Amino acid sequence: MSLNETTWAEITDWFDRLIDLDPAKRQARLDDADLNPEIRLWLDRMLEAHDSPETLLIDRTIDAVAAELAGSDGIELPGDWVGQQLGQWRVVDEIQRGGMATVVLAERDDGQYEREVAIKVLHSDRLSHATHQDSLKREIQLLAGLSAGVSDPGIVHLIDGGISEQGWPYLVMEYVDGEAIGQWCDRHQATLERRVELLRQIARALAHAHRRLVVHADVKPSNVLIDKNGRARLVDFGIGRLLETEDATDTPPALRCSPAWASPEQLRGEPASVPSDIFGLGMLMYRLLTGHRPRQSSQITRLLTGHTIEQVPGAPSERPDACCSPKQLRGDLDAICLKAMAEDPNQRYPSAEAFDRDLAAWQQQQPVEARNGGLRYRFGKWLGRYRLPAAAAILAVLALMTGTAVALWQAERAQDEAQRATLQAERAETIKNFLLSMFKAADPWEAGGDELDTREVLRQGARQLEAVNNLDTATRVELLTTIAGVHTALGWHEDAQALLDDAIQLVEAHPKVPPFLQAELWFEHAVLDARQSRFDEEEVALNRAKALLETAEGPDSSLLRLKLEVEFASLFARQNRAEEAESAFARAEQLIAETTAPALEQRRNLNTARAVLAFNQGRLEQAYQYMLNARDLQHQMGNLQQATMVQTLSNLAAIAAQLGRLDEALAHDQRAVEISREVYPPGHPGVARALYALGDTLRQHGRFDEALVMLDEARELQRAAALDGEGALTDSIRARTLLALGQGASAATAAAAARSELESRWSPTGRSTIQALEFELTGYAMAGAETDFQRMLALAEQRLQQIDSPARWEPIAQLLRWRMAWELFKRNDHAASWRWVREARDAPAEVARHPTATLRLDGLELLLADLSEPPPDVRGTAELVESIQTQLQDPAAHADAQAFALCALTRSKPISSDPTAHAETQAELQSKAHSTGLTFEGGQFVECASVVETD
Amino acid sequence: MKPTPHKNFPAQTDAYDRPSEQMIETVYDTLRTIAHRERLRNPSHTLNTTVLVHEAWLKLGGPAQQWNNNHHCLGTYAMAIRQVLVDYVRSNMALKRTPTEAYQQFQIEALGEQTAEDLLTVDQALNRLERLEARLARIVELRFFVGLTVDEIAEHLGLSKRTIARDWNRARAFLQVHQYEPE
Repeated sequence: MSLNETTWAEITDWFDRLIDLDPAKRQARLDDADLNPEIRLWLDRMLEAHDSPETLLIDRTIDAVAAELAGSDGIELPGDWVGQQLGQWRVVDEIQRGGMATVVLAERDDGQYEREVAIKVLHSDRLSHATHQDSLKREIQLLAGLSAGVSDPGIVHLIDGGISEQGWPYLVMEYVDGEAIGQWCDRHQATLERRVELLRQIARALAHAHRRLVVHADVKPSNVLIDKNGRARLVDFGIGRLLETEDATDTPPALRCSPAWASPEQLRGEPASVPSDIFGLGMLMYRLLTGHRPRQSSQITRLLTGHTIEQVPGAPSERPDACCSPKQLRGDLDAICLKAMAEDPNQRYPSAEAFDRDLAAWQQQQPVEARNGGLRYRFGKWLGRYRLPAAAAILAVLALMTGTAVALWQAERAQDEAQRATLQAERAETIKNFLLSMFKAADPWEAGGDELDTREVLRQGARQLEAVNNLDTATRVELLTTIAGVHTALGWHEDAQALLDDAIQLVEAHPKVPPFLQAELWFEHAVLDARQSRFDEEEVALNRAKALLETAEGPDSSLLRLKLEVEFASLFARQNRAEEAESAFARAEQLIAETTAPALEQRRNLNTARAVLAFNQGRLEQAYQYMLNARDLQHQMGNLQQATMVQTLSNLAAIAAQLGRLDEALAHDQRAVEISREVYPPGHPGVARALYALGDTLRQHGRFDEALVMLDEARELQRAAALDGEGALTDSIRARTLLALGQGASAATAAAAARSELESRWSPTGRSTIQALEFELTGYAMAGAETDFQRMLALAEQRLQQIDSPARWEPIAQLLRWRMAWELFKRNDHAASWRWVREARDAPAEVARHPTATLRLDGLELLLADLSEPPPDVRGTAELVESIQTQLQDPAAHADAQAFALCALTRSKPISSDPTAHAETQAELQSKAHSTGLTFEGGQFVECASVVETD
Repeated sequence: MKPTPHKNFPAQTDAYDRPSEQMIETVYDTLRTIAHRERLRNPSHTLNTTVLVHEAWLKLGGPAQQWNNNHHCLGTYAMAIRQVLVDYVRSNMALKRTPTEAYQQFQIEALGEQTAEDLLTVDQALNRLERLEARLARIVELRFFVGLTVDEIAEHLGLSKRTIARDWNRARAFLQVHQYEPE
C-alpha cells in the first residue's frame, strides 16, 4: 500500500471533510463520490481507525514511554553489582539487567550453602517501605518453605529472600543453567511431539505445586527454562502473587503481571488462582505450537494504558509455525489449547492434571476431553476451520433472513401481499431451523462420528431434507439451491450437481414454485457450469434464469438481475465474444448505477470480466488495469471472499507474465498461494490452481526445481479431487519443467499422461494437446528412447495433417515441426529434417508468423544450407542471415529462440568467415545467454552448445 | 525582531523540511552526552526528556537560540529525541537478539519490550508520513516526542489550533492504519 503525494492530498481533503459527519452520512458521501479504490480503501481504514477507541503509543506521554524503555521504577540501583551484599549473599556476577529486575549470580558469604545461586533483585520500591517489610519477609519464608516442600523436579526452588539494607527486594533461587523454552524450541527446531512432552512436564510441575496450595501466578515462556538435560523447569514460583499482596492502590493491576500472558481475571485485578495458571499453560502452549505470542502488540499497548481487550486468541492452527503444520494442530491440539485459554475460568480445565491427561491422550491418539465441548463449541470450531465455506453458508442464511425483513416491510403496505410475506417469513424460519438442525445432526456425539466435518454436515443435511416431509416445495427448492451453492463454493461439484438436479425435478413437477426461486436455481446452475468450464450449459442456464426473472419483482430480483448480467458478461468475455460482452457490460453498469447497494462483488466481477475480454483481445495493459481494479474492490470487501482473491491474483500474475513483468507475476502468485492455503480446506482444488500458476511463473523465471515442487503438489491435489482436465495441464507444464532440468524420461511420462487426457477430453489436435505432444517427443529424444521417439514422429505427422488451416500453421504447430526437424538434424537425418523445415516455411503467405517459431526454423535452415550437400530448395545463406538478423530485432521473440538463431549464425559460413561479424555475433550471443535465454533455459543451452560444438 | 540563529543552526528555507542532518546530529550528540552523564551519575534515573531538552538547549547556546520562537530549533530537538529513543531501542534489541552461551535464567521480560517494538513501528510510519506530508510528521514529533500541547504547536508553527487538531487526527489515523499494515 504505497501512497503518493497526490493520492494523499485527495485523501486528506476527504478525511477532513468527513471526519465530523456521522458514519451513515460519511458512507453516503463516499458512495456518491465514486473514488478510485485506493483512496476509498485508505479513507475507510483511516475513518475506522479514527473511530476506534484504541490507544496508541503516541497517545501516551513520552516521559512514561522513555521510563518504560529505560526500565526503572524509580528505585536507585547500583551501576556495578559485583561485590554488593544482599542479606547473607554476596554478588559474584551480573547476569542480566531488565526492566523489572536484575538477575545476579551470588554465593553465600558464610559458607553455609555451597552452591552458587541466582538472585533476582526487583526494581521496585513498592515493596521497600518499612511497613511492608515484615509481611514481605514472612511471605518469602512461607514461599521458600512451600516450594522447598514441592519435590517435583520441574520446579526451581526459592531458597531465601528479603530486602537488602539499601532497600532492594530480592529473591534467592536455585541456579539453573538453561535457556528459556521458546528460544530453546526455536533453536533446536523441536518437533511437535517434543514440545508437547515439555508442556506435560510443566503441567505436572504445576499440578504438584497446586496440590500444595501454591500457584505460580506468572506462567509464561520466559519463566520456563530448559536445563542442560532437556528438562523443563519453572522459575519464579509465586512471585507475581507476592507482589500482589502489597500496596495495589496506585498501580494499574496490569502492571503487576505480564500483560502479554496474564489471564483475563488477573488483568481485571483479581488475584492469581489455579484457573489463571491453567490459562498460562494454554498461552504457553499457543506460543510453543505457533511460534507467535498469543496477544498482538497493539493489544498489549492497550492493556498497558488501562484498557480492556478481547482476550483470547484464535486456534493455534490458524497461525501455524514451521514446526507444526495446521493439519497436525487442527482438531485435538487446537481444542486442548482453546479449552485451557477459555475466557471464562469455569470453562478451562479444572486442574493442571486434567490438562496433562488430555495431552497424554493426544500422544496416545485417544479421544481428548477438550473435544467434548458441546455443539456450539464445535460449531464455532467449524467456522474457524473452514472460514470461507462456513462464511458462505452463513451468508446464505443471512440472505434468506434479509429477504424476510424486506418481505415483512412490504406486508405493512398492502394486505394482499401480507399473506405472501407471512408465507415467506415462515419459509425463512423453517430454513433457519433446518440449517441449524444440520449442524445438530452432524454432532459427532449424536451421530457417533469423529469430528464435525463440513462435508458430513452438508451431506446429512441433504439426506435429512429428503426425510423431512412437512416442507413445502418452495422451501425445499430454496434449501436445495442454497446447499448446492455451498457445495459449489467448496469445490464439490458432483454433489452440487446432484442437489441442483433434485431441485430441477421438483420444479418440473411443481410449476407453481415462485419464478424468483426458479431463477435463483438456474443461476446457481450457471455458476456451477462456469466452475467446470461448461460454457454452453452455462449459457442455457443463464438464459433460463433471465427469462424467469422477467416475471419476478422485488429488491432481491434486481440484485439477481445484476448478478445475471455480470455472469453473462464474464461468460462472453471468456469466450471472447466481444460484442455481446460489451453490451452485457453496459447493461450491468446500468444496473449498478441504479442500485443503492455498494455492489462491490458485482463490480469486482465486472472488472474481472472486462479484464478477461481485454486479455483475449490482446489488450494486455488494459487487462492488467481492470484486474488491479478488481483486486482493489476485493480488498474493500474484506475477508469474506478471500477465495476469489486467489483467482484475481492468479489472473493478475498471468497478465503480468504476458507483459514480461515476471517479478510482479511472481509476487501475485506467491500471495495467491498463501491466501489459498489459508482459506481453502485441505485438498481443495483452489489450492492446486494457485500452485499451478506459481509453478509456471517460477518456471518462466528459470527456477525449475522450485517450480517442480509446486507443480507436483498441485498435481497431487488434482488427482485427489479427480480434476483430470486441470491435472493434464499441470502435467504438461511439469513435462516442460522436467525438460528444462534435463530429465527426458520423466518429462515424457508426464507429457504422455497429459496428452492422452487432453486428447480424450478436448481434441487430439487442440493447442494444449499438440504442445504436450511436442514435450513428449522431446522427452523421448532426450532420454534416447528411440522406438518411442519414432512412434511420436509418426503420430505428430498424423496429427499435423488432421489440423485444418490456418490453425495448422499456428506457432504451436510450427514449433512442433521445428522440434522434429531439429531432433532429426541431430541424428544427421538431414533429408527428413529438411522436410519439416520446408513444410513449415512453405506455410501459406496469409498465415501470421510468430518470430519465436520463425527464428528457430530459419536458424535450422541456415544450418542445413551450410552443409556440404545442402538439400535442394534451401534458401541462400545470405538471404537467411539477413532474415534472421531482421527478426532478432523483434521484441516479441523469445530469448531462447533468439539464442538458437544466434548459435546458428555464429557457425554459418558468411559469418564465421568474416572475423568482425563473427566476433559481433558471438558477443551478442553471449549477452543474450547472459541476460536471459541460455542461462535459465537450461535445456536450450545444451542445444546451442551442441550446435557450436559441431562446428 | 528576527531571532539570531545559533551558529550551529543555519537558516532553513522551507518551514516543514527536515532540519539539516548536521543540525540534528549536533543536538543528538549533545542529548546523548547529557543522557549518558545522567545515567552514570545516577544509574536508576530514567530518561526525562523534558530535562534533556532543556539542558541541551542551554548547552547549545541557551536563550540566544530563541527556541520558543524558532520552530526549526524545536523541531530539531524533537527529531533528535526521536532518534535518541529509536537508537536506544535498536541497540537494546540488538543486544537481546544476540544469542550467547550466557546464563539465561530469568530471561526478563521487560514491560518495555512491547513499547520498544511499537516505537520502532511509529518511527517507520513517521518516515512514510514525512514523504506524504512533512508537516504531519513534524506535528507528531512535537506533540509526542517533545510533549507540546496542540495550542503550543499551533503557536510554534504559526497555524490555527483547528488546523493542528485536524492534522493530528489525520496523522493519528494514518499511524494507526500503519500499525496493522506495515509496508
